[in-house]
Formats: sequence, structure tokens, C-alpha cells
Amino acid sequence: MNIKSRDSDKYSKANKKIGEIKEELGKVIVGQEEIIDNLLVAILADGNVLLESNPGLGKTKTVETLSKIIGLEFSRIQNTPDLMPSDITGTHIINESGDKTEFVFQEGPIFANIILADEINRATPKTQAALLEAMQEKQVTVGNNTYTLDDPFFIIATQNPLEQEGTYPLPEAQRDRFTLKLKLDYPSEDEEQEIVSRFTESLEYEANLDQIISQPSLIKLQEFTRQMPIAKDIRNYAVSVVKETRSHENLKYGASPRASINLVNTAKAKAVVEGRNHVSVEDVENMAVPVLRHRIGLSFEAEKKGKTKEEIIKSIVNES
Amino acid sequence: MRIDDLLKTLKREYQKICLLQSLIDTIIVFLVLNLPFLVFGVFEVYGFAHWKFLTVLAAFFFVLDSYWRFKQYDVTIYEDENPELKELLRTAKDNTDKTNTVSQALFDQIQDITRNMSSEAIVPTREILGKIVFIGVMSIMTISAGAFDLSSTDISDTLDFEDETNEIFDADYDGDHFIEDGHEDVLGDPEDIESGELLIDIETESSGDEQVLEVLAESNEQIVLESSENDFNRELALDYMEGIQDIE
Repeated sequence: MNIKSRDSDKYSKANKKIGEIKEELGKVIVGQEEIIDNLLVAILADGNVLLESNPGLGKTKTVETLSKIIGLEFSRIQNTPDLMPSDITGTHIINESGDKTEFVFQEGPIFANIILADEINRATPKTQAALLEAMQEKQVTVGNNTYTLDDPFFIIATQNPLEQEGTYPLPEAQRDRFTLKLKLDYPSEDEEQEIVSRFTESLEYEANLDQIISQPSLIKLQEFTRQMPIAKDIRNYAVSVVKETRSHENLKYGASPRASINLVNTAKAKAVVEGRNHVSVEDVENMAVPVLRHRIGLSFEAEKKGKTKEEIIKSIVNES
Repeated sequence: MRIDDLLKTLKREYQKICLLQSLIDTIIVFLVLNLPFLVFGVFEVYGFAHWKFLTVLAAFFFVLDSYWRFKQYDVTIYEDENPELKELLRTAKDNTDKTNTVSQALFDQIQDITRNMSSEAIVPTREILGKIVFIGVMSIMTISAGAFDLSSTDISDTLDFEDETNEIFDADYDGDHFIEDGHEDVLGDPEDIESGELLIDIETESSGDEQVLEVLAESNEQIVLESSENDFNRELALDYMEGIQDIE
């Protein structure tokens, strides 16, 4: 006899929704299962994502589709060197109605639930700062006024790894605010053929997408993620991995305690995405690279030897 | 505290198995110690019957053995038998105070698994079967020792081989006992044969060794047969004569 409490039923239903979201995304996006999983992890962990990819790999399509499926408002910001902070946050405009003339705050594109900030490294540091304040504080300051952003709120910022000329690389302190850094790779040949087949047969490919969950349900899922039980030794293991980056011989600088928090939260979110009710060691190991790769710096010797950050993180994970 | 109750249940199951094992070990100890007592015929120890003494010793052993086994308990015993349970139990142990939805779902899963997993999973079946077989063997040996009653046998009689050897060569010894005159082992009652009053002189001619002939001649002279009216006796005498002639 399989006796389940109401709590188990609730959690089982929540897990089922995650599966349905992935299935619905598959109607538009071909392949990229790992990226989709990690995007879901970031959303459940209430974190922001730095997405590094070459042009034309479907970043905008992916995020836009995801926002439709999970019932969130989507907004896209194309960063350019001449983009001003007020172009992102909004500004006060004069509203003349009747006899009244008043300044009215017009919300900028940042007032949405999911923001895709394309090529963030092309924006000036001042504009980047406005975005980053929104990321961290979930509010924007315009003049003397502070405006709170709606919950849930995510920023998915992208970077082009190829064209680095005329860009403003994010400083380490600001990169640290991103929960995960994901790298989008080219699809396989079969996947590319499927993509071509889908998007060349009609002017506008519109899949019949269903909204799987609502905003309140998504917030509930985020609560479940925080409730996910984790064994003490697994939590300690996550902390020890991050700590090791600060004294590793191949690293010039390591990750901060914020990385430890993000690693544990994303491991919990990974367990939710996988449909489990506990965090396993594999969750921590799988999330170590996307959590840490943008928070550490290689030493000169390591760069000379051609080592990558991913290799060093994996070696730390295996040794710990 | 659901998980606390669950962990207590698991511990109680383990303790039941420990008590069973201690009981088996105690029986073995009793039988092993009892056997020499029987063999050497020691039935009293410090004024008490030997089995009472052994019972007290066995009871003491049972208590100590159970205590030692209880101390060995670790929930990893169940985890080793069920690897899926390992991570679940480990996580649950560190979150016993949590009452949120996901923790409760975790406890539900553990309960389902442990409900389907019987305590037989941690019973060392082979070891216990081996011990039961050993108890069987010891029991047979104990019974055998009691049946032969080695302590009451006076072995001195059977060890005097010299006397026995002499008796074997005694003409009156028939292997079981001495044949006594008039002993019933002799078939029938002794019968006197009456030879009668007929005297028969026998003269024979013989060949052969002179010494033998002399002996025979001597013996012939001594042969005096008294005839009797009994035909049977007469025939017996004739047979006797013929027998002597054959010898010559």
C-alpha cells in the first residue's frame, strides 16, 4: 500500500509541471536540453543568468517562448554603447491633460518579469549599473524615486564571445551578481536540419503554445525550491568547493560566499527540475561549473599552460 | 517528528533481530559448556546442579551479548541493504525538524521504501542457519553423551585383556562363560551309557610303525568292552573296534 500525504501529492503535481514546461518548450526549441534545464534552475533559484553565445543560436526565441509558457511578461533590451540608463529604467515625461501638466513616470523595458538584455557588454558601465541594480535590489531608482519591480523578476544577459572590440566587459564584482553563466553551443547536424525544416516552411513559425503555470504557481515552485532538504555534509561539500577556489594554485582569485549561496540554491533547484525531494551530491557537482566559471580568474601560469576555468573547477570538484 | 518515529522503528526492528541472534548464541554456549560436564560426569558445581549453574552463566552471556549488539546499531545497516535509501535517510536525519511540503514528501518516500523493505533484509540468514545446524549437532552429541552414560561405566573390567586372553585358551571357556559341569548349555542332560557285561577281546593285525603298533597293542590290551544286552551299545562297540582298525 502506497500511502501518500497531501504534501506529497502537492509536490508531485509541481514536479509534473516542470516536465510539461520542458515538453512545451520542445515544440519551438530544438535540442539545447541542458540550457533549458539550467534556465529553469535559475528561475526556480530566483537567480539571473549570463548567457554567452554566438549570434543566431535562438537565445531570444528560447527566452521569449519560456516566458509565454510560464506566464511571465517578457521584455528585450538591445544594448548599444549609446544606450542610456533611463532607456532601461524609464523616465519622467511631461503629461499635459486638460489644464494639468505633470511629470509622469513612464516605465522602461525593465518593468517586466523576464528581461533579455542582449549584448550587455556593449552597454556603458553606467547603463550596466542600472541593470545590475535592478538585478540585485529588484528595484530601480529614477531621480529621487525608487520603483519596486514585480515578482518574479529575472534578467538574462547575453554576451557575444567573438566580438570584443568596443565593448565594456563586466567587472568581476558585477559578474558575481549573476547566478549562472551558461554557454550556448551550436546544435548537432540533425538538430540543425530540424531547425531549418521548422523555420523555413512558413513566414512566421508559430507553435500552439499553452501556458503551463501561472505567476503564483511559479512563486510556489520557488518556495518549494527553498524548502528542498539538503544533508549537512552535502551543504558542507558545496562550501568547501567554493572555498577551495580561493586558494587554488591555478587561480588568481576565487569565488565569494555569494557563490556558496548560489551553489546550494541551484543544487536545490536542480533537484526540483529532476523531480527529486532531496539534494544529491551530483546536483552540487553538476552546478559547480555554471555557478563558478564567471567568478574565478586564471593565474598567469594556468593561462600559459592553456588550462580553462571549467577544467580547474572539475578538478576541484573531484578532489573535494 | 515523523522521521524520528521512523528511525526509532528501524532501530526497534534491528534490536529484535539482535535478541534473536543473542538467544541463538546463548543456546550454543549452553550446549558447548554442558557437553564436557556430561562426558566427565560432573553433575554438581559449588553445591548446585550443573544445569542450574550453566543456566545462570548463559543468562549472563545473553544480557552481555544483547547489549554489545545493541551498541553496534547504525542506520547505515539499512542503507547498505538499500542504496536508494542511503541518501534519503542521510538527508532526512539532518532535517528532522522540518515540516514543510518538500520535507514531508521526502519522509513519505522513506516510509514507503521502509514499509516495503522487511527487516529480513538485514537478517544474516546464512549465519543463523549455520548456527542452527551447529545447535542440532551439539544437541545430538549431548543426547549421545547422556545415553552412553560414560561416567557410570566401570571400564576396568574391559581393560583387563590379559585375563581375557587366558580365558580364551581355557578348555572350559566357550567364549561367553565357563562351561560348568551340568551347565545347561550342554545339550540335554548328561546321559550315562551302559556298556553291559560282555567282554570282547580284540586282536588286530597291523602294519606300520613299531612304536605305534606297540602303543596300539598296549591300548588293545586295555580295551575291554563289556557287552550288554542293549543292541545299541553292541553296535557302538563294533563301531569303536572298526575305528581302532582304521587307525592301524
